[in-house]
Amino acid sequence: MDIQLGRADLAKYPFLSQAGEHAKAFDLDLSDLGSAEYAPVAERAKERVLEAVRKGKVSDNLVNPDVELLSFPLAMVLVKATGLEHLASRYALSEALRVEGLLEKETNINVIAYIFRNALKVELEEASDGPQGHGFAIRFSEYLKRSTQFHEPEWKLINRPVSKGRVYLAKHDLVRLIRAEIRRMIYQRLKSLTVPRLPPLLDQFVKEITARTPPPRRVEDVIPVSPDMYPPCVKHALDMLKNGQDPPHFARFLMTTYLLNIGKSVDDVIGIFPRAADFNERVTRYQVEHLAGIRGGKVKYRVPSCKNVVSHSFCFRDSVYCPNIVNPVQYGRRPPAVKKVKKSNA
Amino acid sequence: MLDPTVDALKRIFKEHYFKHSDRVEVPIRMSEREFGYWPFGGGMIRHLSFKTPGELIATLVKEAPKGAYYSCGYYHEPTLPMAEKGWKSGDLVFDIDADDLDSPCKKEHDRWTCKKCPKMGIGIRPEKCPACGNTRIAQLNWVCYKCLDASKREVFKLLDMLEGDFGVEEKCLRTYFSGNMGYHISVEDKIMEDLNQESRGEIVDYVVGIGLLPSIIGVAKQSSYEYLSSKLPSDGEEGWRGRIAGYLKDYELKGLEGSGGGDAKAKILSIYKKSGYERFRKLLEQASRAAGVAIDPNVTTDIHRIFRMPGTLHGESGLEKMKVENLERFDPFVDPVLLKDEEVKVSVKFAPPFTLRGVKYGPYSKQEVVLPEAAAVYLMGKGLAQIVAGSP
Ligand code: SF4
Ligand SMILES: [Zn+2]
Ligand SMILES: [Zn+2]
Repeated sequence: MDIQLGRADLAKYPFLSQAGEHAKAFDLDLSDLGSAEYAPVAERAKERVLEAVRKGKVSDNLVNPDVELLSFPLAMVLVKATGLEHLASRYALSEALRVEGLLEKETNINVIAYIFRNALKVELEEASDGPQGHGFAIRFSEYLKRSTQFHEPEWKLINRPVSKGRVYLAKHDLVRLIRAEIRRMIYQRLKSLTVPRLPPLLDQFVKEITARTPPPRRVEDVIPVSPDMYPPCVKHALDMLKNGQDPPHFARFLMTTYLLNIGKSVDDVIGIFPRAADFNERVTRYQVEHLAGIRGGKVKYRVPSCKNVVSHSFCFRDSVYCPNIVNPVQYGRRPPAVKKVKKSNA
Repeated sequence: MLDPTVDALKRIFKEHYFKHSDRVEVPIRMSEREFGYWPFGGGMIRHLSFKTPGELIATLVKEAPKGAYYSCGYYHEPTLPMAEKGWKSGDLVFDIDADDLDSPCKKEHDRWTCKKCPKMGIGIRPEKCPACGNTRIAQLNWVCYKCLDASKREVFKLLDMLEGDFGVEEKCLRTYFSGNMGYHISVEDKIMEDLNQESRGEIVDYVVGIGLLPSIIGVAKQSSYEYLSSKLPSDGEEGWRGRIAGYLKDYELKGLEGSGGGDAKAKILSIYKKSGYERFRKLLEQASRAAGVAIDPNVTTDIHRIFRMPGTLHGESGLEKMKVENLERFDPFVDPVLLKDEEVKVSVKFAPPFTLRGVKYGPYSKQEVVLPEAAAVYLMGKGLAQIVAGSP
């Protein structure tokens, strides 16, 4: 059973196929969209992209649903026309965040179910037999396809109510599951888009967007991070030291590699270890230098992944920055890193 | 082939396959699978493909290998090197090995032998040989009814979980005796088949009981006891909450002797009051491992694994990897014993006692014995006995 979504709903969720059909019904081509008559659409499209560049999130502007709806496919064209790979992933995420905000507020369950079915090809069940507060269910295989992208322990299957092949979820979880998916979907669509010649106005917009998009950040770039912006796991290890506790070996490794990676010197890092009775600076120095790559195999050690931290039970994730990262070095950097879509197993 | 024992094993297997080729369970979708076999006295041969059952069986009879395998995975090109095969999907499989269960009987029947001097001992091998100090020590893992029964209990737990939690229909589940130390369970279900490696890893953690958060059973660091008792699981609940409730209900806490049984919620609350958060968290880890299933995680997550072919003989035991229809009644030392009673003379280095088809054998130590073929193969396959020249 397919429900008919209203114009306002389509404007909120313009990536749906119904929205696409609705947009097509206007029968516009790019030269129309580049003309004065459709200036509000073109302006909004540009704004969408620039919001992504500046804020990492696209706003909702539902005053004129048609403008909102039509500006989405046009914004995609603009992004693609810049040829900037990092803008594409940033834009996809920014749109996904917009959708997430709307879905959190969405009161129409049918709309959510429709999005699951239409955009994700997943049957979403309204389940009244689940545990309290878990009003939805999906097949565990569909759940796993998505949840394995997350690294917080509560997404582990064992931490979900599971029965007869279904995983029960709260609405909030659904939204989280969808976000990554929608980002990927928009990103995929961007990748497969081909851009024809643009009319002058749109061409002008593309130039403007390109000029205002900063170059991609390289992973190797060292970004100074203030201690209050250290990820919770690293903070925890440091707190343990401060309180005279002895962090487990893994925690020391995590903390040391992290601090070295954000640009601390070997001396800085050694200074963090306490001058305890059994403190042997030479040993510590050797270990830290080894991790820094000054001695021994000359290997600079990477910070262990969040997954790895989780498996050592040393993850103390928060809900602000942790949800979107896969490695503690990414903590607090915006935008959260976009995970590459995995190739199927070869 | 110069080693007469290897020769004998091969001859016995060949005769068996020749007569009983109908026992070999040809897998579905065979042209999409990789096959492999391990000849007696040779190295593993992999990346084979068979187009028809006849071709496969002819190879088995001809080679009479000590192990025959096929991939759980379905490939575009099964004979190409691994990276080029093109994985399409794969059966979900589980391996429950008596040897991983740490049953108390291991200490009684496992043996070790020093590779340098004649010293040997009972149980798990030491770091160093107490006689000569050598660190190269061979371990002989043995199985008995006790540890195979323990494996059976794990199989029951796994089947319960697959049907109850994962909704797998009974007809998609196949249970096999592995031919030596345990059981194999394969799930042939469209939904499972498409799961990637990461998803399989999550299923493993679920099945084994890894990563369960205290908050899932209602325990949070700062909550009041009233709040706790409203969130704790009760015994009959589904899934992991129920499993933990069931385990903790019967848990005997030190200082709370005789506290087993009764209401799960009340019991958990009293444990929690007594132990505090940190100790409770540790106990929960222990509880989830105990209530989970002791599968070999690598087998389930390795999507390129080749698995012993049902209906073939295990080279270390001569027993068949056999489909189990009634697990309760299945007898691993009777049902899969298919080799003949014809007598063979062997010289046995040593052997813990064992039972086949209801007959007790051993223990043996440096002696010549006349054994039925099945028992002789059971020892020769493990390298514990040599055929005596002139034996039929
Ligand atoms: S998710 Fe990563 S960064 Fe965040 S707390 Fe866990 S390990 Fe640290
Ligand atoms: Zn020795
Ligand atoms: Zn045993």
